[in-house]
Amino acid sequence: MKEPVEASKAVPEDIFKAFKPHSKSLTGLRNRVLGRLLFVALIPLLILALYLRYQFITTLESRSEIFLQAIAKGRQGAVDQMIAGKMAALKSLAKLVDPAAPASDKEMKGFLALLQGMDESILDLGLFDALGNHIRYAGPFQFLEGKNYKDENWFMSLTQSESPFFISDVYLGYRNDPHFMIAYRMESGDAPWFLRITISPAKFNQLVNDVQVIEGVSALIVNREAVCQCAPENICRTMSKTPVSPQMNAGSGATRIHVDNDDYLLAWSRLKYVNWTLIVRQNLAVANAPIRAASRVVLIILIFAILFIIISSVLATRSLMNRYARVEKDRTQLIDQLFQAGKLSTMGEMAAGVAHEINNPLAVILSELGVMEDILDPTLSEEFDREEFSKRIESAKQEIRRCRNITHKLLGLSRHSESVIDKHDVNEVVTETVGLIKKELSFENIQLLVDADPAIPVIRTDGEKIKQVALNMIRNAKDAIGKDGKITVSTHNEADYVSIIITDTGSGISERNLQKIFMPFFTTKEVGKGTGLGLSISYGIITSLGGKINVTSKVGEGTSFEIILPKKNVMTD
Amino acid sequence: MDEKIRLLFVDDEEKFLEATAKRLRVRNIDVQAFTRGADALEATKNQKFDVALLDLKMPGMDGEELLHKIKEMHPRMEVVILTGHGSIDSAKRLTRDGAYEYLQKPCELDELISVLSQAYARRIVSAKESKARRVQELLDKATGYSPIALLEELRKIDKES
Repeated sequence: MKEPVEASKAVPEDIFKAFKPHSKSLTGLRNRVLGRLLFVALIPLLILALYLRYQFITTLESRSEIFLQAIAKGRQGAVDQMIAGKMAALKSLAKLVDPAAPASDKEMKGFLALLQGMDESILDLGLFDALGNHIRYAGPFQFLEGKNYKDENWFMSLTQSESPFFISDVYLGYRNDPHFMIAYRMESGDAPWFLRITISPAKFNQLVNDVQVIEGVSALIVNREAVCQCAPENICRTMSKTPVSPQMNAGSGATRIHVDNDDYLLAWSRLKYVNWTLIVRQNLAVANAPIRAASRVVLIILIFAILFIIISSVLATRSLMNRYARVEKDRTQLIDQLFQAGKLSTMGEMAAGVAHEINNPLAVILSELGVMEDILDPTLSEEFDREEFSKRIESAKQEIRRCRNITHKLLGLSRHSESVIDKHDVNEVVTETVGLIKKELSFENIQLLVDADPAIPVIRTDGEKIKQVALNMIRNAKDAIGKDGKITVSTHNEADYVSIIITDTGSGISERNLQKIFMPFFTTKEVGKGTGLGLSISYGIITSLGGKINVTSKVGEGTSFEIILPKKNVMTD
Repeated sequence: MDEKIRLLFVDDEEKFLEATAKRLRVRNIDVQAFTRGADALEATKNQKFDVALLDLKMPGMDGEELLHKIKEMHPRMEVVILTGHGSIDSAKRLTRDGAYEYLQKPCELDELISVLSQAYARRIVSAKESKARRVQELLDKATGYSPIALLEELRKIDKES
């Protein structure tokens, strides 16, 4: 003998979704489609935009560094030329001065005027003998004439050095006013003479900064200790320490600094004749102005691109969703029609069954009335039996009540198309269902056992719908048994749910068919005997009530359907 | 047709059975009523019936099974079906299987009696035909019989029908 196949199947959650309209999720679907569309279109665009922006900014930044460095180089060259010009002028002048007969004051004034005509930053002109005595002077600080400079740093350096020139840092000196000087040693026999010019850093600065006027760019000169030699007033005061990094003393280069809440780009270049460094400074905001302008253009283009993508995505989604909604509407209508047809057809089957049930009490009534007629007929009975007559009336009335019960039940089943949620005792629902079908089962010699769990709480659900489902399942059980068998209907109180289990001793369902029993129109019955809609409708009903249906079956032994109803709406009273 | 119709009446609806049987009895029909098919079948072993009136849907042995058993055991007994669960399919099938007529509940008494009388008439005719046929058969092969034996055989045929 073949082993019975045991099959157990929990109905997949989504089996019925395919048959039910889901209009609520339409908005969700639209948002998902739109979201994905936008994601796919916008992410690459944004990545590209960010990459391009990064590339663009780095390029522009290094370009502005190079640009500023070029300015620094050019400015350094110009300053070197200015200094070289002064040195050359000093050297030429030295030839005009005869050390044996020092020039008169008038001549000195003439020389100074000559020099100042060339270069207005020159303050004064002085002539010193080998002992450091300031023997001649032309300029605004007349009191300097006659002073001895032999202990001054510049004088000592110049007497000892090989180079005939000396250029000092900016200092205050006897005049107590910032200036720097270029001094020249004239060799004349054993005793050298010295000629010097002093230069106003402020005026020199004007020259430095007038060389080439570029917006936002200013130049300053520092010595090797980073002390400001000449600079525009707003950058640093002459002779004050400037916060520049030490590597600036080497060659040329560029860097960024943060001073006074502002970012600056610096480029520097060492001067040739003096140990100074020329620095050009540009406010980064100004330096980066073209970057920002270009970024703004890119941003505007980006915004337009994003707007275009969003608008076209929204339009595309809308047309897609409209089409989807149309298809969905058709589908929903079809499914509605299907359900309606299914409902009508099960109603039709049931109505036929119930109509047959009515024929029996009608036959009884007709017979009882006939007997009463006979009693009244003098040819058939000799005397009027009042007692029997009233007994017959009572019997007929009883049968009429039986008919009424049947029609009421029929109406009860057909009435509710919409769910009517109310308090229901599941045991009561089961008892009523069993009452509807008990007689039908007795004809086939099928025993119907009810095992009700007394602990079942009252739940909020649709009693009539559950009755319809249970009735459908008991009918299926009956069809599976055919003749001579047993159907058990039991109720169970579980932690979260209440269940009704309908078990039969019928032929069972093969595993292959078990996958399909909830599909609409699936039936194993002969053509015309079943619509294949009963279980799919039952499934729809139970899911709409928040429950589910499980089924286990063993071929040759029987099938068990479990209707699970959620308890969450349990009434406390 | 002076004799009473001997009717076997089976219906699980007790009240219908009782009331209808009562009405048939006052109309000169000899009714034996049973609510269970098995009891009715048992009764046919000891009693003679002309016509059986059977309900279809019954717990235990149903009308269709009973029809087959009666036709098997008593081929000449006429069977009338009276049911509340009628359908064209079962009517066709049962008349093919030997039912004389198929009536639907609720049924007027006059119609019922008329059908029962017709069934009884056919039963009588078929009984007479069968008797005549047997007498003819007997006479055909009677050449060797003694007159006393022949008379004995004829009496037997008369008694059986």
